[in-house]
Amino acid sequence: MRRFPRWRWPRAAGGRPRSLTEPPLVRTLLIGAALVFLLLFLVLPLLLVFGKALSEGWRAYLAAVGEPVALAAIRLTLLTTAIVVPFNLLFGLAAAWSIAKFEFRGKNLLVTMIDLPFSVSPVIAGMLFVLLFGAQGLWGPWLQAHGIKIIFALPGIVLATAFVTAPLVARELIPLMRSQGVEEEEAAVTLGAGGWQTFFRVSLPKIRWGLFYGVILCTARSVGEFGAVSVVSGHIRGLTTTVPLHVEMLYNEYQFTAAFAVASLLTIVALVTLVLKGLIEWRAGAGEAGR
Amino acid sequence: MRERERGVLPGFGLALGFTLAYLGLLVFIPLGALVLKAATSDGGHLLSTVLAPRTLAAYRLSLGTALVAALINVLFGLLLAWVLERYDFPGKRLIDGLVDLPFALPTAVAGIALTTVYASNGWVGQHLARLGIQVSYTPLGIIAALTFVGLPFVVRTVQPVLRELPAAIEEAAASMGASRLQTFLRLILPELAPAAATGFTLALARGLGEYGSVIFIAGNMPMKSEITPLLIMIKLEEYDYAGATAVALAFLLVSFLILLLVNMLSMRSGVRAPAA
Amino acid sequence: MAIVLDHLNKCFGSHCVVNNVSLEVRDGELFVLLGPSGSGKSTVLRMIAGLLEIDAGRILLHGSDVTGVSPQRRGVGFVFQHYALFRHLTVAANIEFALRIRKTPAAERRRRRDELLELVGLVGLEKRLPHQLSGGQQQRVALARALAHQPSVLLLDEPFGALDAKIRAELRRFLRRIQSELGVTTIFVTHDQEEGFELADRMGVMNYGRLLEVGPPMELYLRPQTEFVATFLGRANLMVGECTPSGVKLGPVVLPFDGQVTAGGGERRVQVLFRPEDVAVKDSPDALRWPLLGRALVDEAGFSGSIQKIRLRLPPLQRVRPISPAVPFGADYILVEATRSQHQARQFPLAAGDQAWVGVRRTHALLHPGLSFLAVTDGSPEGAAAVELAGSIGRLAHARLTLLGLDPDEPRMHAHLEQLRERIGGGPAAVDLRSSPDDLSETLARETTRQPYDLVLHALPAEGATAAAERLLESQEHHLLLAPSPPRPVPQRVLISVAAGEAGKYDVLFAGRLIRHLGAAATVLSVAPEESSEQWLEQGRRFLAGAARTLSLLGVPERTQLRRGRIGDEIRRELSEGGYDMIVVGAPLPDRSRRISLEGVVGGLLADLRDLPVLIVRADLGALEPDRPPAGARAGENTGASKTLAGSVPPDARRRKP
Repeated sequence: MRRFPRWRWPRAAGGRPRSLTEPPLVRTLLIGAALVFLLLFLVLPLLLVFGKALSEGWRAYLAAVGEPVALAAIRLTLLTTAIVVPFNLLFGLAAAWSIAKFEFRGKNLLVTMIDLPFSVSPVIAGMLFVLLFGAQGLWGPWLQAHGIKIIFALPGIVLATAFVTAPLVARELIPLMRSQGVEEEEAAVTLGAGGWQTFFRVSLPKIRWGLFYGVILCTARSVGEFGAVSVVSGHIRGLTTTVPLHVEMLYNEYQFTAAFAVASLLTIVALVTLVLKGLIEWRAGAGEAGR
Repeated sequence: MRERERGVLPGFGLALGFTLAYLGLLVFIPLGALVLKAATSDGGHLLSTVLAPRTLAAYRLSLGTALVAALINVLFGLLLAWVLERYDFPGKRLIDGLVDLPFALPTAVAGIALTTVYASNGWVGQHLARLGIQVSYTPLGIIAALTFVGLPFVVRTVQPVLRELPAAIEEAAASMGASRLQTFLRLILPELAPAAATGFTLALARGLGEYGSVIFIAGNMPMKSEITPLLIMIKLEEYDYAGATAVALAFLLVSFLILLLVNMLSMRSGVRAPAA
Repeated sequence: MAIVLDHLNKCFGSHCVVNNVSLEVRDGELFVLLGPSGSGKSTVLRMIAGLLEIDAGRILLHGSDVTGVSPQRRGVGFVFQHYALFRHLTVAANIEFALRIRKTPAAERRRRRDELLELVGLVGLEKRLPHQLSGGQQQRVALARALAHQPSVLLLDEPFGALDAKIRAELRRFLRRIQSELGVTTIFVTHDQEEGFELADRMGVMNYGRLLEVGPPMELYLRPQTEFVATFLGRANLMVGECTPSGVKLGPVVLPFDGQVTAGGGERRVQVLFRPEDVAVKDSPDALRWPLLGRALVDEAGFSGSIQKIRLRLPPLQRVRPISPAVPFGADYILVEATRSQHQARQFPLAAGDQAWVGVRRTHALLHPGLSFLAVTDGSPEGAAAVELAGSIGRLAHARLTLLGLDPDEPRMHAHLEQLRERIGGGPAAVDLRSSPDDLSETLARETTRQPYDLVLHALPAEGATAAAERLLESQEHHLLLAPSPPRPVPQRVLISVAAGEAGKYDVLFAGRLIRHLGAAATVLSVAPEESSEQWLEQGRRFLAGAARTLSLLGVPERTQLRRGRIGDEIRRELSEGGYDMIVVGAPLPDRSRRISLEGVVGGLLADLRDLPVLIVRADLGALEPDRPPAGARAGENTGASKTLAGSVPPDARRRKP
């Protein structure tokens, strides 16, 4: 018979002495409660996605993922992401540079404004663009007269996604750049480096890991954005359905296995994001190099 | 204090200019359109839409469920942060990483997964159903979805504060004869409170606007389990732009007010809390 | 001249961090800029490097004006306190950075890099990243990096500040060697006077944005010109005595002195400096071959390595006021610090409580600056009354007096000021005139920044006195005397109303310094709330007893009074009973934005006191600490205590619950 490893009480982190931690029983109970909570809300749904996706075997899985409409959705999602992320990256860099390295009036207001998209419901975010560009919208008639389609087309999806994910890179970079101060840049300047030289040779390498994480997070959220895109997409199968919308349609048509199969792709993107985040933190923690 | 000056480092105009232009085009002009739409619509229609029983029920439901979910997240967020910072146990790093899953997982995926787990024939739902508790297609389901979505906020705001908390505080308390519970309640908790309040606010803000993870599990019965973002969606699908604008604007105002209030309260407590 | 600074100025709002600094640094010189933190020394350095724009003035490097030149093209080497190494680059890449920017060919770059690595003794570490080096090694890399492009001047901003004592000492020798080897003109900023002494060819001492003195270290140590430099450079015994033709009179003894004090007509007050190593301690007066200060009680005798440090208590001396070491509040003796070699300590062992005879081997006298007053007038009779009060107190205190007239019509005001000066006569040490067409706040900020004042005198405004007083206290460090009109005779009975606490101690001290010149008597009043405990009252009594001793040491006839009740009421009652003709109150500590709010007790008094001069003393907690750094280096900013006025709450009750 296999022997189970002997039970050991969980230890206090960092070798804290007994007087600075709780009794072993309390520790175990607290950890247990936390784990049950995570199991119910995180782990089970995660396992379920893959369980359901593969419930009818690999063949069904591959068929669901490989059908033309699904492939079109994947293409649309990738295209949207490829447009949105570079713009938000530039925005994040510009915002963090001006906020972290300079003093100006209204700075705190600007920081709040950058966070604004986070406190606007994605549905409302999508609606804003419908109000601007929709058929009955502010500029709708003009756009229609000139044959430009924004709502229920790629531009609308890009705008809505960009709105929702705009703060992500900036939020990652602002505290990082702030904490780094300006001394290294000043040193570069006294050594004769010009503006762009200072930026590319000193400032950018210093924030590369934070920037990388911001980009990953922005990518993951762009890929998975649902509410805002749902409003502006029009759900034209094979044309304006991104992957999350495709999942929704499959689910609503009771094609559960197919829905979860496609959803598992999105889940894998999310898990890869988490793994990369862990790697970045480990990398940045290993040397001071990243932070 | 070192004074930072414009002039030595380059690119201020360019960076700020781009930032403002981008924000302006992407955020301010669309928000302006919302206000403009409301201003140019028939006031009576707007008001009657906002005050319609169905709308009010949606507001109540959105606020109530978001509030409960955020409170649950404060409780378990503190617990998780504590466990992750203070104890060692197998798989800790993995779990620490997993906490961020709701940030990365598309909400639609979370929605269908939670619905299936908590449906009356689901992995968890079937056990709850035997106890007579129905989660999916009820407000309880909405709370479950919002709890999922807001889970990382409190953990991630509290964790760094807990990590930076000097051990000397607890050593001093222990040397003066305080028990662990006293030390936690009187010294540690007040230090964590501002961070937890911030996390609460963030979770609340997220919960108020959440759409993707909720619509699958909510059941979407008007007056019973129809959240505000869904109501807006329905109005849009009916091409009732004015109605959608009214519901959205009032909802935005109410949520901003609540967030402002919470922020002010937590700022007050933040000023009171630190010892020095 | 390698570096010339010509009247540099830099202000942030009304706060001037660099104030008219002019300096010339010679070719190849290692110049140390020394000062406490916040004195503006780093700001000067950053301005030379071009990292900070200047408001006014010029900077010349090797004869060419670089004032408007970008930092990239100034060709200076700058070493930062926290190294500021590029964290993502190796040691070699850090050192080569400036050469890469200048597109130096690779071979030349490598040659120069290897040369510098050898110079700073880091050969073999070129592949490391900064975080893989110790602090001392990182700073060597930073130095090599700053030297790579062969800068015309080298600027170091507290480069060893973050390192421990042993490595600091090692790096000092290392820097000295490299600097003389390369002969590069260097400015080294530090707050550590020992570091300054060891490194400097010449040094300059800064405080409050002003460059006070410049000279070789030895010269500044032995013959400082200002109180600040005397007390900032090393330990100092500094007291105010009198200058006579035969020497410096300190109580009963006349000490010979070296120095430039010329006795110009009659008695002059001087500050007498003698260093601890100049104090001789013997067991009998006969054994002393030096002028005798008196018999002292040993307060402390402590071992500190190669020398023994002794603190001695001397009985009070006639017409001598100690400045440093600061005498504890309520003490009526004079403290003297002495050091002895361990050899001497063995020959004549001393312990606390022993008696010993104290002599002085060497003294240096610096001209006592005395008090300086600024009297503000707008040409009205009320303004003239303020000037008149300033004149009469200034005569008695032999203070320097500046009359400041505010009037858009400057010539007319100037004529008016001339008249006022004539009326004051020759009593004060000096009377300067200034007129300005600008408004009060602006002019006052400018004037008090240009030159510090102890006291600003202004007419007691008929209305809005509280707001006016707050405005007058807004800038800089002075206290405020509000004068009633028509003019009164010089005050003879002064009421000092203070809180029993640290801030109150300073109020008593400053009031005492002023009142002693007036020849007036003082009553110190402290008011306890009606319901205050016996413990509180006991604390108040102890405080008042201390205040009495402090005043009597200053030679001020004194009385104390402890009252119970509402504070404003009790002050008014005491005023009406005591026949006072002046009142002194303490101002609360400024808030975070440096604003002093006089709402409350002072405001209440100002509203209905019409015919008394009111002296408002600004809080200065730092001045009371026994080992206070330099005079005038106000520690008020970083003390967390709050001061409520005139004894409203005892200090303990005010302390916040943890």
